[in-house]
Amino acid sequence: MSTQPVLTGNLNFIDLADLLQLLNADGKTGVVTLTSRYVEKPGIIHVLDGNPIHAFCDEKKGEEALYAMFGWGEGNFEFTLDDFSHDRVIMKTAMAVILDALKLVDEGEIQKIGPVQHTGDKMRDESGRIHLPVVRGPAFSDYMYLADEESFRAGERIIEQGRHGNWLWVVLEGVVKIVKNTPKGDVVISRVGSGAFVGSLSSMTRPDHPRSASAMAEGDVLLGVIDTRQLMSELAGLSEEFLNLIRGIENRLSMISDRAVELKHSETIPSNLPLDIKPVIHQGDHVTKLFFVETGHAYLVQKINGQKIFLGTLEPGDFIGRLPIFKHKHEPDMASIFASPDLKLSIQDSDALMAEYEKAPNLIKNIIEFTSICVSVITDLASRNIL
Amino acid sequence: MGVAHLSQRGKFMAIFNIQKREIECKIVYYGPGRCGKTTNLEYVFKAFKRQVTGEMVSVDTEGDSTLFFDFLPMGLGKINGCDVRVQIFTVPGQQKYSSTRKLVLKGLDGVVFVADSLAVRREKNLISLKDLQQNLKEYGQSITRIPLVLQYNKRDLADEGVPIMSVEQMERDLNRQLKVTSFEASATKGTGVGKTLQECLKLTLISLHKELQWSK
Repeated sequence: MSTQPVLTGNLNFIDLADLLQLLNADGKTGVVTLTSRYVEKPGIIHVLDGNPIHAFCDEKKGEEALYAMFGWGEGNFEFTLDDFSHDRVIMKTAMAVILDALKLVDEGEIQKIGPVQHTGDKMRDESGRIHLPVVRGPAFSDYMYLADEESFRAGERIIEQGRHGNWLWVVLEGVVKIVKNTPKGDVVISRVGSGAFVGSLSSMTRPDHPRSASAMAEGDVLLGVIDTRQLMSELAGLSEEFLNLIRGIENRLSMISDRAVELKHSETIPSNLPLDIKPVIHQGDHVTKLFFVETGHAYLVQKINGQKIFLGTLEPGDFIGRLPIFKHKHEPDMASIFASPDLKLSIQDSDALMAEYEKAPNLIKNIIEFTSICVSVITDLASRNIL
Repeated sequence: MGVAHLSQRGKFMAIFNIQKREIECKIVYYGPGRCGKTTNLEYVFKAFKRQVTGEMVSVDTEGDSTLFFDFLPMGLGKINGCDVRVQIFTVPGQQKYSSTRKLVLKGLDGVVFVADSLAVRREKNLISLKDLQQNLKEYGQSITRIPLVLQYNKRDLADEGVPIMSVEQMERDLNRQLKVTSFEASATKGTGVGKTLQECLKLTLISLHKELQWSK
C-alpha cells in the first residue's frame, strides 16, 4: 500500500548521508524513494528502526544499490510509512554504510549521476591530453517529439559548422563531440552524452542562422530526431520576450565557446577590452533584476585566483543580470559586467518570464537547462584555459 | 520528527531528541596522519566498553582509517533531564576524502587535536592545526570558541631513544594562542587517553549547558 510521504525534499539541500542520519537518530521505519531526472527509475531504500536493510537502484540490489545512490548529485527524496518486507539484506549499521559509501565516492569508485560526468580527477593526463567531462541532459522521456532515430558510426559528422539547417537531435546512446573549426585547426569544445541536445532552438526560429559548430560521433551513437513541426508550433506559443531569453542563453553558449577557443590559441591572455568601459555589475553584487541590452556593448569579466579574464562581449538582444533558471558561472555571482559608454538597457519582468518558463513544455525547459549547463561547463574550461 | 537541531549563534549543533530524551553531540579527533587518532579511539572503545553502544565502524581510508562509534559518557550527569549520547569520529587526513570530512566535521561540538611528539613531525602538526582552523571556519565555527583539547601523543617513544619534542616546545608551537588544556599521552599504552576524552566531554557538555541556558 502506498501512503502519503511524511518527509520530502531536495538532495541539494539534504543529501542522502544527512537523510539517513536523520532517520537513524530517531529510529524511523519506512521507505525512502529517490528520483532524479538523470535516472529513469527511482531508487528505493527500506529503513527499519533507523537502519537501511535493503535497497534497489536500477538493476542493482542491496548494499551495491544503496552505495550507487550516493552518486546522485541531484534529485528529490521522499520518505513514506509504506509497508515493506523486513528481510535484512544490508547488515551494516547506517553510519557504517554512510562512511563506506562516502569513502567510495571520494575515491571515485561510485559513478556520479547528474548533468556533468567527469572522467577522472584531472582533466589532463600525464601526457597532457585533455579529457573533457561529458555533459548530459535529463533522461529523455518526451517520446512524442521523436520523429525518427538515426545512428552514426565513430568519427561521422552529424552537423557541419557554417552550414544551414534546423534539425535538432537528442543523444539516446553514446557521446558526441562538439567541434569548432578554426583557421588553426579543430578544437573540441565539449563532449555531450545521453539526454543532451545537438542543435539549437535559435536555428529553428531563425532559419538564416548558420551552424556555429560541428558535431561528430565520438564512438557509435544513436540519436533521436526531434519533430521540428511539433516543436515549432510550441515555440510559436511563447512570448517574444521568452524567445529572446532563449536566444540570449544560446548566444552565451556560442560566445563562451568562441572565447574558449581564442584563449586556447593565444599565448598571453589578451583582454581585448576597450579603455572607456565602466563596471555596472561587480562580481558578487546582490542583483535581483534582469535586463536586455538595447544598444551598446557589455563586457563579461571573471575574476579567478586574482586574475581577471575577459569572457566575451554581449550585444543588443543579449540579457544581463540575474536569471534564476540560468545556472551559469557568469554575472552577478561569478563575473562582472562592464559597460560601453553607449550601453542602454531595458528592464525585464523576470517574474513573468519565470512563470512562463514554469508553464513551458518540458522539452523546451530541458533544452534551456542543458544549454545553461553547457555554458557553465565551458566557462569553467575557458577561465582555467583547459581546452 | 521529535528531533530538533539547536544551532544558536551557529556554534552549537547537537541534536535534541525529545522522544528518547537524549541529546546527541559529536566529538571529533583531529590531527596529522599517523599521529595516533585511531589508536586513541581503539583504546577508548576497548577500555570503556561499558559506555560504548553498538559496534565500532572502521573504514579503510588512505593514511589513517576513519573510525566511528557511539558513546554514553557516565558520571557526567544529565542536561535538562536528558541523557547525553556522543558520536565519536576520527577525520581522514587526506584532502581527497572531502565528502567524508564534510560529514564528520559538519555540526561537531568538541574537538580533540592529537599532536605527534616526534621531532620530525613538527611541521605536520602545525599544518594540521591550521587546517583544522580553516575547516572549522568553513562550517561556521571558530577554533577559539569550540570546546578543544590538545593531546601530545607518543611521549613513550622517548624511552626508546627516539627524538621527541619537549612539552614546552609543543606548547609554544601549538598552544601559545589557544591556551587550552593539554595532555601528554601514549595512546598505544592508554596513558592519558581517558583523561583527554574526559576533559573534552566536560568542556563540550559545559558548552551545551550554557547554550541551553542562553536559549531559554
